Amino acid sequence: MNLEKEDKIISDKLNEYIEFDAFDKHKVWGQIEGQLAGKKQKKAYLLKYLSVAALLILFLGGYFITIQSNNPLQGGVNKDQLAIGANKSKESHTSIKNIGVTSKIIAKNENDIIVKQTPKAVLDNSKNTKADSSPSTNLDLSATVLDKTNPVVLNESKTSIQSDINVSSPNVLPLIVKAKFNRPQRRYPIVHINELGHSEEVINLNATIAYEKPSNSSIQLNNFNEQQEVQKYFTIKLIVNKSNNSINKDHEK
Amino acid sequence: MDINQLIRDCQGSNIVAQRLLYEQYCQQLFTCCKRYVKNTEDAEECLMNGFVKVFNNILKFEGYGAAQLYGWMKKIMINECLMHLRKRNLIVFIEIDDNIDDASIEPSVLDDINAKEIYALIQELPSGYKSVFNLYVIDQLSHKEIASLLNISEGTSKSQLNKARAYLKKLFNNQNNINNEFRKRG
Repeated sequence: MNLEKEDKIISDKLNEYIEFDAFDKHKVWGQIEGQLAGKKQKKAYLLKYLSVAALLILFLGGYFITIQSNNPLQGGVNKDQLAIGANKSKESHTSIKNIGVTSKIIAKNENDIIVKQTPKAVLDNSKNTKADSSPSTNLDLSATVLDKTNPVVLNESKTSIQSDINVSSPNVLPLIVKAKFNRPQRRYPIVHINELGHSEEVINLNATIAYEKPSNSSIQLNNFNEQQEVQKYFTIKLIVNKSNNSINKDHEK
Repeated sequence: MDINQLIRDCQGSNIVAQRLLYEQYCQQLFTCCKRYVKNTEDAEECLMNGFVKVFNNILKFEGYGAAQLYGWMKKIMINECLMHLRKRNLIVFIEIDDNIDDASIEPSVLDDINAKEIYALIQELPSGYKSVFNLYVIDQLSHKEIASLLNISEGTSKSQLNKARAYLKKLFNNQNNINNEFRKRG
């Protein structure tokens, strides 16, 4: 006999066959019902716990937000956070592009060299806003400190920078560089300076930058851009034209 | 009650509808379970777990009508039985040395044996033979499907089926002889 036919006969016979009353169906239903009810109960408990947890989180979140908004310094702003703010502020200035600064020595005497610088490029101030400069710090705080400390002001398009360079001593001459910005129109929050207002860095900063320089050396000011300017750091390269001997001779004179 | 309405009610976790569905199919599905597992307690356990799965997953059922619903539930029950057997290491694929050159059964033998007797004889098969025979002949799964379900090779599935047939042929012939004797006496 063909196996397929044989299989079909067996299959048909068995599929039609039902073993009645071979088990206690009420007992089995009771167990099924118990399991389903248990699952429902578990679900209900889980929902209950979840809702309570969600409420707690909401309440605590609201509480902390209220505290933070009432007292912005409650959490404490440490130096590290301020440094982070300063870094972010630096990053926000990266949009200043291709600022070519022409430096011109406009006056020179034995002790002093006055250099005038005029940047050519136009500032891209799209990012250079107060809000962007340090999103993690409190704006109110920076605004108030700004008034106290560093009133560096830039014109957006035609900013001219005048740098005064003082060479005060003929022998070991500290070069004093001060930055002035003409036609002030717009204030730029310099967060890292302002926020570190009480630190030693700013004291050093406010005291200007001092370099030692031999008297007869010429000064080549790098194409420092306003980003550097705003951040108080001029990069100045000193190129010694004469040898040490000739410098000494000059000193003797 | 319309079966599709019953399905919808079960999908809405209506306990009355669930009870009705259980009442309607529990006997058939218990018989199906009993084909795979040997004793009644195990079959009851498989049936219970199977129905819990049915009610928990009935939202996923996308079929229509009684036949599709029964097929879907039967699949769940079979899986439950195989899981039960695997958990207890009850599926053993033994090799019985029989002459399996001709495993086919005489037509007259099959005609004389009724469904209840076939059902009882299948219960006597060793677990490996029984599982493969049930899956292939009665539930009409392919050797590939059986191999993946039982975690065996297709070759093993085929050889187990052949051996099951040969073993069953013996049992059928014995049963047929008993029946003939009984008729003669009667």
